[in-house]
Amino acid sequence: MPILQVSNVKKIYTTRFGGTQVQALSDVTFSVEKGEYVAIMGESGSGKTTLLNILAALDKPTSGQVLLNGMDIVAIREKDIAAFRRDNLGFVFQDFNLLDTFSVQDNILLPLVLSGRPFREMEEKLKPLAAQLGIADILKKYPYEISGGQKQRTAVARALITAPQLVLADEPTGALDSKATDSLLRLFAQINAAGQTILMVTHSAKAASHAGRVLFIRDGQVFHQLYRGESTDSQLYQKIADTLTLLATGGEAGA
Amino acid sequence: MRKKSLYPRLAGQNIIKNRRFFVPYGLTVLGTSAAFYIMSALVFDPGAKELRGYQYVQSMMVLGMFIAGLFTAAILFYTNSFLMKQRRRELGLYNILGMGKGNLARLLCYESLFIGGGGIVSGLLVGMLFHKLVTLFLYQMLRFDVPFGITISVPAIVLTAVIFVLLVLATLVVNLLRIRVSSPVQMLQSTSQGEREPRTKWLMTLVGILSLGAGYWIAITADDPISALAMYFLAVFLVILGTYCLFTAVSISVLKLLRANKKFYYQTSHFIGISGMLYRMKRNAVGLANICILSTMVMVMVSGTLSLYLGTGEIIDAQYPADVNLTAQYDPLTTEEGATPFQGQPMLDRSVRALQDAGFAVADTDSIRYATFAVQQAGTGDFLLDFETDLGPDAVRRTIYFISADTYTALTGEAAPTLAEGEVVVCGGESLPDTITFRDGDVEATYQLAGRAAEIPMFFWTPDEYEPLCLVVGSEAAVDEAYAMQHAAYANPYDMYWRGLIQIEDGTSEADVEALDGVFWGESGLFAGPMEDVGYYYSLSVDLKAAAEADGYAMAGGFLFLGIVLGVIFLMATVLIIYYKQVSEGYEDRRRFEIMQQVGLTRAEVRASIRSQVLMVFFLPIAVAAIHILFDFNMVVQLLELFSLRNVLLTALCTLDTVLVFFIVYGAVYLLTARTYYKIVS
Repeated sequence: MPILQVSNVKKIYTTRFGGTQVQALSDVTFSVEKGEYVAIMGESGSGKTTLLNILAALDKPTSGQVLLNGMDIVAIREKDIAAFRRDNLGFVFQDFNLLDTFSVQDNILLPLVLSGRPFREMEEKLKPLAAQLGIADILKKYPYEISGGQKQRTAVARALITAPQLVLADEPTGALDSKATDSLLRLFAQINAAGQTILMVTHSAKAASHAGRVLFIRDGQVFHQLYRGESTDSQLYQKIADTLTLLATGGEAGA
Repeated sequence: MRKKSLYPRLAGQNIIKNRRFFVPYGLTVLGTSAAFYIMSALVFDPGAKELRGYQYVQSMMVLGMFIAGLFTAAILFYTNSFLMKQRRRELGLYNILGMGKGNLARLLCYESLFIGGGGIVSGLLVGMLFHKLVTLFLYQMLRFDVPFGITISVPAIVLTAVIFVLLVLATLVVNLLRIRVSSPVQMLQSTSQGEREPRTKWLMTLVGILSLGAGYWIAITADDPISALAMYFLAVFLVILGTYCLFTAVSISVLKLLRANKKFYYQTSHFIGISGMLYRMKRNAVGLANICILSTMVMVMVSGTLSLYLGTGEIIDAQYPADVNLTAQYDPLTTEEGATPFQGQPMLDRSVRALQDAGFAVADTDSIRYATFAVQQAGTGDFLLDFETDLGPDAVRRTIYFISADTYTALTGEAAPTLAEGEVVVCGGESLPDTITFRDGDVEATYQLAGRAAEIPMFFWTPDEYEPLCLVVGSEAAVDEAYAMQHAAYANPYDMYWRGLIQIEDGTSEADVEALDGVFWGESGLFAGPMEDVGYYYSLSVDLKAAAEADGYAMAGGFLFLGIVLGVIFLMATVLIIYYKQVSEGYEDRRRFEIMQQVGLTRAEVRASIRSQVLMVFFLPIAVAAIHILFDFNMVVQLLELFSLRNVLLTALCTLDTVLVFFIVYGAVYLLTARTYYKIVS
């Protein structure tokens, strides 16, 4: 069974007084297997962010179904959604979304504190994770004291500490320099190799070229997908670049 | 032509766009200039000179104008700096889009002209409108007859306009200087600077705890009015210092200690609450301390002046037991060659005759005598008639009063105790041994304590640092003996006192003051004629209750009015600080609110946590202010005793009411500003 099953998801935004309607997603269907590393690519306005918000249960689709581990997240009641998100999903954002009132350690522990876990358990989980992410010696620092790359590692640690079913990453490399980008992508690959399912939304071909599979979205639907197969990162990069060129020049799927 | 109108139009748009910040600023200008106009109009009122006691009000208003002026300058600069901080981004953007610093300056000038000019003009209009209402209210309080007709005070308009235009210009100059020195990029970035974690300041924490403790200690241990007055400003200073330290350092130290306790800290509600408060306290500490101190001032000022005003009748009644009060100080033992000592009865008779001649119907007369002198207390019931002997720095000095049993009855209306020769009764609850001794070298007198009697309304007591002790003896002769004793002991003996009390039928009012004055001090008045028949005296005075009432109400009413006016201005400042705090925090919290939700906090939880933090930040200052008031209460009671007000219950009620009303107003302000805050956040 796939860990994530998205079927015929449609999202129409209506302006407040029912005037104009904007179709953000017309018909999206895809699935993600456990342990997969999937990148979703698309231009600005292609519906990427809407899709991610729906997967994150931050927004509800107009129609269609989203199953996480067989559970329909569209049907979850409003008051259970936060807990569901906390226990099953991990988030990594473009602009880190760290709280500047908390130290690095407290930012990472936030989801565990929110679920009311005992402090000993938090410490046990934090230590190996911080070591793995290379942030063990900045735990006492505050977000404004550390670099962008370190901030993003902190955000990754926060996403991983609950051992979520699925990590959702929204343009995780968008605010990083090339060195920090490389290091973060290596980290994602490492985490994925350890068995973590990752779904990343990006418009960077370089970021996508580290994934196992790349989905392309255009005009609110899945337009094309690429499997890594046996290709290396740079070969996959080449394929992605070709597809993007095709997309930009207006070619048809499967061409 | 179009180009010329660009700046005013842009300035107008800016004001509308930033109305969240500009409107309160304009209202501040409006409110303070209206208050200032009203006060100066009261000072310049030409008709009021005729009114008895109005000079008190005028001098208080001048004081009030000074305080209000300084304070207004402080709030205007505060609100202006806040406004500019919020707008730096916008101005930076204009700068980048091609507006030179000169253009920006022109824009700011127009903005100041609109908002400042508008504020001042409408403030003057509101002031004129309310001037009459305030005059009615004030005259009512002062018990003056209310004049008719509307007056507009031109000098007050000019003074107010000049002062406020200067203030607005000063803020404009500060803004222009600030623009000159900053680069556009700096302006663009300035709102998104990182926030450092507050450091624990142990020294300040210690200083805060110590000075607050010392201030409180001084306040609760003050036990007489004179030392309370002497120590009051020290206590106020210590409490203000302590309050600032409390908010800036103590709060952060406490929060950090809580955070260091991991088991406690890593629980959902504590986790968000403590870290949020830590962050908020650092940013708001000074503002909160300001609010706390302002609130305390408002409450102390209003409750103190209110008690004084409401207690005025009582004070006057206690100090002036009759409508006409005669007081003579004399020495019954030594007189000038050939003169007889002062005699009370002829004086009383002459006064009654003179009053009757002037058309006043005398209802009742009474007279009392007492001997009074100061002593050092060598032990309980052991008094030294001698100040040369050094009993050390802690020596207690007392003022002793001797009255006869008849005087006691006249003063209290209670049956006189029957006392044998050498027996005394002590008034009030003081514990004394059975034998009381007065001594100095060869002089020594002992009295046997025969019991105790009711506290007497000691209208002749003047508050001083000597604690009074009143003893009742059997006869007037015994009073004379006591007088003779101190006469022998002291080189400069104390005087004997005589008081004549004359009640007028139906009482007297302010209208009678002039006529009564004429009876005694007029050209053909009592004191203009020969006084030989009353004997030899050192001083003889006449005190009119009606005059004291007029003066008393004018003074207390003036105080209360000043208290209320300054209270309103301080409250306005408090409201303003709170408002800006809410708005600026709202913008910052919006971001945190979003992140928390993404990480898995429900909307309701986020709301609850932010609400509890806002409530805490909001109500912490007045909770502390209420504690200040509680400790200060004893001090206020002592100080009011300087004005002869000894009604603790009245003061307590006034304080309670003032605190209640303040809490209600403060709560209302909270509800209003919290709405703006939640609108921004969600």
